[in-house]
Amino acid sequence: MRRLESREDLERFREEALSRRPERFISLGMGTASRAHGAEAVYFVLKEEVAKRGLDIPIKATGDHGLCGYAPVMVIYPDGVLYHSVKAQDVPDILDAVEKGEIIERLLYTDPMTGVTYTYEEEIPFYKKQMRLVLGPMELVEPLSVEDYLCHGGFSALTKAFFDMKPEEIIQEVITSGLRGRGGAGFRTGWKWEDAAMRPSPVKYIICNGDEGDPGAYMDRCLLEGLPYGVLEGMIIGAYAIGAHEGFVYVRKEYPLATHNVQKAIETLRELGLLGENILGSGFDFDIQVVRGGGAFVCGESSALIASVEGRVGEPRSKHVHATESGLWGRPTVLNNVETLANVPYIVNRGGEWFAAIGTEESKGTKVFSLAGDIYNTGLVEVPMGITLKEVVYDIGGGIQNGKAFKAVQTGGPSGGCLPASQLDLPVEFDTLDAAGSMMGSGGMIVMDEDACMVDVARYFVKFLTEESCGKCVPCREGLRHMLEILDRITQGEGTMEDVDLLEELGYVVANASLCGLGKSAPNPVLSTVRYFREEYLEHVKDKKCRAGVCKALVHYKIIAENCTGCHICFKECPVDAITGEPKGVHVIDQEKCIKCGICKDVCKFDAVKVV
Amino acid sequence: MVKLTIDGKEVVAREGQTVLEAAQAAGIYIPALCYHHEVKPYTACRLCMVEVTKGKRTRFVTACDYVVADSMVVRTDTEKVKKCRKLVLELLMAQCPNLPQLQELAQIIGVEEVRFSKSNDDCILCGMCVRTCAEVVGLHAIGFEGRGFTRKVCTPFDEPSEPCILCGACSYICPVDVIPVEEVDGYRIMERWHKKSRLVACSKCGKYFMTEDEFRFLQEKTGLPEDRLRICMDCR
Repeated sequence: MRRLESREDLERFREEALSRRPERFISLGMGTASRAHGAEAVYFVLKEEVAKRGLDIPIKATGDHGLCGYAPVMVIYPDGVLYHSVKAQDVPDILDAVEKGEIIERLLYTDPMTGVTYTYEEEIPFYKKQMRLVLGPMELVEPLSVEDYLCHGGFSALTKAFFDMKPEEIIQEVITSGLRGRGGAGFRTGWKWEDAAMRPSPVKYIICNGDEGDPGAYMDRCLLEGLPYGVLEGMIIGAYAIGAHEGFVYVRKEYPLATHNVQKAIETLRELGLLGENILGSGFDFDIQVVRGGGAFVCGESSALIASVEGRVGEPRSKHVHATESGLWGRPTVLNNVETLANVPYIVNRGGEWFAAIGTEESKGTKVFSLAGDIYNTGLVEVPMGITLKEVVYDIGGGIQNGKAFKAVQTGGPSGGCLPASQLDLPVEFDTLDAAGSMMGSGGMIVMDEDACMVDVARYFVKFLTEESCGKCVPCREGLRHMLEILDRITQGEGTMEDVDLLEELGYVVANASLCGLGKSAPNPVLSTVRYFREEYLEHVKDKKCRAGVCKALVHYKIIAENCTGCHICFKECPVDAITGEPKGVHVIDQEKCIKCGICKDVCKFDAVKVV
Repeated sequence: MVKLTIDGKEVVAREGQTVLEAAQAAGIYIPALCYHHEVKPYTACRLCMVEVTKGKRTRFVTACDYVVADSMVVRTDTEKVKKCRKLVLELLMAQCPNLPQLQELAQIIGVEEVRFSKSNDDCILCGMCVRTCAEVVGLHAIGFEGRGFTRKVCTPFDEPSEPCILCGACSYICPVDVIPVEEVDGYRIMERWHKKSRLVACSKCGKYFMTEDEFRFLQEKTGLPEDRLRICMDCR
């Protein structure tokens, strides 16, 4: 590969890339979510079939397109026809259609709520309400193709920063932009950079935090997989601004594709001269190493992450002294989240004021969320800050599946809070979510329908956090253990009113007295559900009832005589022979024997088995 | 010198001193189980948390590592401090129900009952032994294993720890006194670390005064001649 010695070299390279840029191409989402849905087979057949037919249509294996619930997603450019849930056997038809300029109806997206079918990606409501800024180039570039990245303005922010701006001007733009950390805490990136930049230390570090541990969150994974150059460009600019010559990308071990792509991207940038000594002849030296996390959730916490990079056990420490003063190996260190860094090139290119015009007073720009749960369109979405939860859940998410009622949306990962329908008009921004008892977190968003038991949901998240607590400080280690024990008791119908009060007391202390962010935010799922769904706790405790039918100890299965046709299926399927009844006669469940596995309810075609 | 107030009392502290040190010097009691001046602050027990106001901002911080500043206002007696302190101790008492040191502390800070299910651990996981071994002795013979409430202090793989010299520093520093050291038939035994070492007698008075492992460690570390090292502190 050629080595770029100057800005002019890079621009020449860009022009060449642009001149070779195809107008017609097929983009196939090939991130982890798509691969799980069989995208690799589609890609293989597509490649083969295109070669066999001698077609001149490049195929781009890109990062995930966002509509992950419908993966693999394929878009035919230049028109932008979107096909979803594509299988390998669909490939010949697709290519026939492409050659003839036709469209395959059966692979188009149909809105599950309205029944409207859409041909073009840009018309689909899921995309329409979004503002895809950092995710913008995702479906247009091959993750490891520098040429693709250059065609979409890649490294123009880097050259602008290096040759047209002073480090302090870059920092000023980031301050003006109001960009806040996308990893959870929402600290202002510009201030962090400014603080690190003014430290006189000759050795400084910049770390990119890609230890995304929240269950159900995959924003950073998709960015590292699909747009590694974007993240790295932001990081190089950050390093230049603060005067760091060494950087680390900390990726969790569970992300093999992200690790691979970011590693390969770094190698390519080194070969090109965009990393290493005297980058583009600017005189600035900077290099990046990839560090793989060992799989502890707490390592996403800044001080634990730094300990982990240093090769010590990933345990948090007190942070009265910021990392920007004394971080990695005691040196000034800036730690930014993947998505935060991915925003930087846009701020440098278009200016802080342009960025600050997006969003709300205190939360600027866009935020990527991984939308999951009981909605139609699960996937990765990017919205301007300040959009309401309702818009995200209904307009983008497509509403609740199977006509059920909305119950709660959990934002901010396992230690976020659950917000009820009354909070759906809440704008999505750092401070309002905090005030409502939840948080922005790294951007997980789980929507729950009426079948979710809020006590059980709280128990689930507290269990996760109890297992992931490092155990260093007492409130988090012991407090969570007892919160879990109490929640277990309540879901088993053995809870008392004192237990609910004790939960609140524990929640207060764990939130206030814990050492790190994990403990400080861990009571959120409990405190928010007690706040918004108190009646469900009371039902569990006083009436020994679980209205959602989730808590096994509080429900039993019953066959409604009027509906039972005596088909005998439940009799045959019951694993513990708890059902009696003759064919064509009414069947009965023996409550003594029943283990509440729910198989009878699942197999009954006549809706005769009820949970009561 | 730094001037601050703790619970309304004006206190003068040295630059760089922690709030806990300043309070102790001024005779103001702040409980702490994982703090010792010989090792670095660890901020794990959370009993020393106090409310600190600097300028307009009030923060809830650990006194053991929070450094004093001029005109800082520290409160060790607010409702929040008391509430957290009590519950944290209650949690520790549920974890280790049979430690007299915790019962004593409970009397001082007013914990009357333990409302949580009890385990029967004896170690409060303050890490004092681990840190003393690493920071003071300079060996890393013991460490933490596991995470969350399965965390425990042990030797690597729970087997006899190779670097351990049975110096007993861990036992000495343990705030709840659960690391016993026994001396039987010319051997020092530390059951907790599965370790046993022959004792060395003083060449002058004949009393046992250190283990052979300790002797070798000191010999290597100091380079002193053997005959000099074989004399106990009393006879030196």
